Amino acid sequence: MEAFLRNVAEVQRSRRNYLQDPTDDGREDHLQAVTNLMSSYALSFDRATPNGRFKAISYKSDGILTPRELAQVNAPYQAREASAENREKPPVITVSQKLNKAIATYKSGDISVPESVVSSLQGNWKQVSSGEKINSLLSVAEDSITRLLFMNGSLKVSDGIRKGLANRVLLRALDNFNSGSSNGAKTRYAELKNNDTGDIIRVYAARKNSKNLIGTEQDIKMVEESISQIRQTTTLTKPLKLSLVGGSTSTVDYTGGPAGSGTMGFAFPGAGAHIVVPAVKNATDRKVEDPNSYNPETSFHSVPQADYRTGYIHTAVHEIGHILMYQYWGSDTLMDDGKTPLSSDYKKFGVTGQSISRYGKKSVAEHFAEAYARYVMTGDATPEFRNLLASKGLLKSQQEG
Amino acid sequence: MTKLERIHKTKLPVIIETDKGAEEIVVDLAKLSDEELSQYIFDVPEAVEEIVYRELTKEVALQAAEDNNNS
Repeated sequence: MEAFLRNVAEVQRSRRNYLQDPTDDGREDHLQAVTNLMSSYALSFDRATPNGRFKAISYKSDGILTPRELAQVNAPYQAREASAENREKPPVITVSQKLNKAIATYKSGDISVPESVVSSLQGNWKQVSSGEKINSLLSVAEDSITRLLFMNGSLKVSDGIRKGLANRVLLRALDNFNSGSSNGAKTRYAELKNNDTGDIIRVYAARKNSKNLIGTEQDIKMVEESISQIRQTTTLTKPLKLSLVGGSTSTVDYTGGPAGSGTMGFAFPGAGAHIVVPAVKNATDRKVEDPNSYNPETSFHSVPQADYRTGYIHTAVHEIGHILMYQYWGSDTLMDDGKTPLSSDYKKFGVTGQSISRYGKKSVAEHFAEAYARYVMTGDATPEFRNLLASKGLLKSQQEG
Repeated sequence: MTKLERIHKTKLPVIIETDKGAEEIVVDLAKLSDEELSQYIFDVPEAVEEIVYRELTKEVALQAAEDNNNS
């Protein structure tokens, strides 16, 4: 704007000079001043309304410029106004506006566990609303920004930029959910939280864009029972998170034999333990094992699969065992070289070489999860394994002095 | 303006149990595309941290470019 006003003054000066002393140079100077004025107007317009439709001005006859010269000065801007490119530009949609829309879409498609199921669970379990899930994610993003800035030499970033960053992270997450991720089973989820312990149960949708849960009321109750058994036997410093997800297999055999194929569960730090819910839960598929038949050398799992419920809980506790393993012994847990924290402690406490099940023979990590599951579900554990748990403060009985 | 350093773990081990045996894989968040990373956001705090790191890196670079233009 300042440049435009300066050019207005220039045009007035050059006109006055020419009228006082009409020379060819003076005329040339005036024409240049008018040309500069028109150019600075266009620049000011673009800066003030970057997405607006351009509106030309016309320099009128001033008694100096000829009609041809006037046309020459005005033509480029009139052509621009009339051009096809000068159509109404689409409004700029801000991140805030996109986020509000994404939040509304997310909320409208959110899924939940029937309240009758929630109220039937033992303990202070409550449904986590879509708003709470979003706030939780935003909180994680904001904390992360603060820590990253602090740890990088207290970089200075304005509050506006911090908030904008957190909003962009949230927008990504919501866009992903709203459009459906490529992994169809892990899209929308219902979440329950125990307000006394902070433990979380997540039940994912049966498939992409579905509002049906993958887990039944029975599944959810068995998950809750698993968590309850763990809390009765283990001293925990962090809440547990256990998710029910869909799998790609049609039948999962929870008994001793390697019948069928597919994933039964998985665990990784941060995301917690996951149980894959089989699509078919047919009693006739199971090979029921006599609970008195357990033999640490020959039994496939550390707890004989007497029924579907036992198998289910065993998987849940086994996966939570891995989560505890990662929390207390770090990430290098599959190495059996005696140097990684877990295998080193196995040697130290004399657990190395003990049998727990055929599945537990595969690695130190699997031995741990199997031994932990047996301990939680039956109370049975070798003194050496108990000492291992006690060394990390996990053994509940040591707290009962 | 210095390059930002990551302060979060990017390599996450995952143990997968099948009825044929367990397998451990490592998910390296730093190597995932933005879209792949987004799938983990609601599950894994480190994924949020990685996205924050990437966005903040872009922001820092923009600020540095503006500072250079103004000087």
